[in-house]
Amino acid sequence: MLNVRNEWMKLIRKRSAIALLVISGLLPLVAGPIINVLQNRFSFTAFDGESFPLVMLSLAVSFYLPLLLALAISDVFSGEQEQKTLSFLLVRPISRMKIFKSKTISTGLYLLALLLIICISSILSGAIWLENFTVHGLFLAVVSFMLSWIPLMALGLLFMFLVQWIGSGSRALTFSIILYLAMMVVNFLFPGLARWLPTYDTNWYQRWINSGLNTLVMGRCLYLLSWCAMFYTLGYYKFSKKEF
Amino acid sequence: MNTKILSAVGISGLLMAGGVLSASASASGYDLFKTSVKKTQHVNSFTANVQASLKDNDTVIYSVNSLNKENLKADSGSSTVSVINNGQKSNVEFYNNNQQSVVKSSKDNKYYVKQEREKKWDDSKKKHEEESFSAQKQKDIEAIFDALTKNYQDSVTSKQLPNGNTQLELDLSKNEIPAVGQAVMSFFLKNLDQQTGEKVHEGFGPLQFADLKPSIPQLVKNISVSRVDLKGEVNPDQYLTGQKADVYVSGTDASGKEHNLVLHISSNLDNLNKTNASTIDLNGKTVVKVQDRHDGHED
Repeated sequence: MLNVRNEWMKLIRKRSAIALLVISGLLPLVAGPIINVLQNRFSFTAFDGESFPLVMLSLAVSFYLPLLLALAISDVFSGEQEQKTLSFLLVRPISRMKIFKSKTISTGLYLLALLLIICISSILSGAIWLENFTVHGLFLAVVSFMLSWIPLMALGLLFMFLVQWIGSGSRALTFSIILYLAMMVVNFLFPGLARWLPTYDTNWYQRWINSGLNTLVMGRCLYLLSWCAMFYTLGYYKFSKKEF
Repeated sequence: MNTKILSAVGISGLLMAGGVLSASASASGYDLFKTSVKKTQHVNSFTANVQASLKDNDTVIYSVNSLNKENLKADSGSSTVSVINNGQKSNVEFYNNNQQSVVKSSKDNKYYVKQEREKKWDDSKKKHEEESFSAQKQKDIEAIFDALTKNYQDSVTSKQLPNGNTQLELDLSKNEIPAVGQAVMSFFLKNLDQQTGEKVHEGFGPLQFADLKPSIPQLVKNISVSRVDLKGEVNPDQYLTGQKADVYVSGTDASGKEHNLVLHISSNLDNLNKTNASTIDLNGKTVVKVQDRHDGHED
């Protein structure tokens, strides 16, 4: 698609992006043997080959991935504005709608790539280092990682909308992180309000595993998808009306 | 803002609200559980029938059956416990009030009596006061509990029983059990031998309970909790009258033999706020007086 390839290259060819992708792959590979040694020394089995990828995923979705997502989004929008490279893009004969769409798609692809890398490396690490690795566990891990893309993308679209007001990459990143932390606090302190935020669903794969497709999961699906639609629309609107 | 954008935002906002509201309506089983726990906390007296059994590869290796009468207001209680350990049956009776504790075992016909000291009575009174939290503290604890269990709340199923009670059930398979639970259970099972070694002196004066300890197979590898099934029964007055837990653990021992352990615990509450503890008349019985040990760690 028009400009998606362009945006994807800009995102992925950065030295920091390559470093982060490599680190994402290495972390589970290193964590596996460490957990193995610890478990043998203190003789307990908290994580086996079956649950290890899910544990890695729960850590990734609650801290690591929102951070990386915020970083990517602040680069794609505010960072480019700061470096004044966005103007070059805007003078090309592409509509703002297409530019916004391509930026969103490449961010989504980047998130998917991160999830895939962590998924593969934690499955490998679990299979090599930890006992009790099963096909059932492998299946659960792959499905859970893919499901996690949706709530994270909902969070990403909220960031995308809000960073339109910020003209500097570092400020956009700081703002996104603080916003995310605030949402996490709300999640714990005000359970009534938390239902209205996508952070309520960051580890919703657990809910899929626990109860399958029931009314609650369907409701949350509808909520997340309409959240995405709403902030995609609002983000595009703000982006299209913005003067550079 | 043009109409297209406005209508897109409006429609998605409506759908969002619909999603949230339809999702929050289904957590009623969990809410009933919370209400009943809060209500049952304030019970003054009860009769509890507690049963527990441990199966190893479908053979019962240990079972306990006890009938406990507790009156918290009068600080008195009595219980009869029967234990079947590897086919051997033994009975123990306990009676306690705020002056003394009496223990009778089926091994002999002596009654072991320990006088409660003034200080301990004060301590337990203080402890009891601490246990009843302030309203604010209770609310905070509830909020944290809600946040921690949010992924399990909608898995609680409720069913109407023919006797008018409501049955709540939470059935967790292996991947739904949090890693902490797995860690604690496997740590406990792997270190069983050290624990029993330390606690061998446990008893009531000259009366030793060492032979009542279950002999659980020593697991060393592949320990995992494969299933936890929790059930609760709430009566029409919203008291939590029945609780049941089945914990399935599997693992292999040092010789490579696979064990499937099933721990079953059930407790039924009865005669809420109407229970009086049984008392024992020590006249004409052989009584052995038991002293607290004075070497720093009594009891």
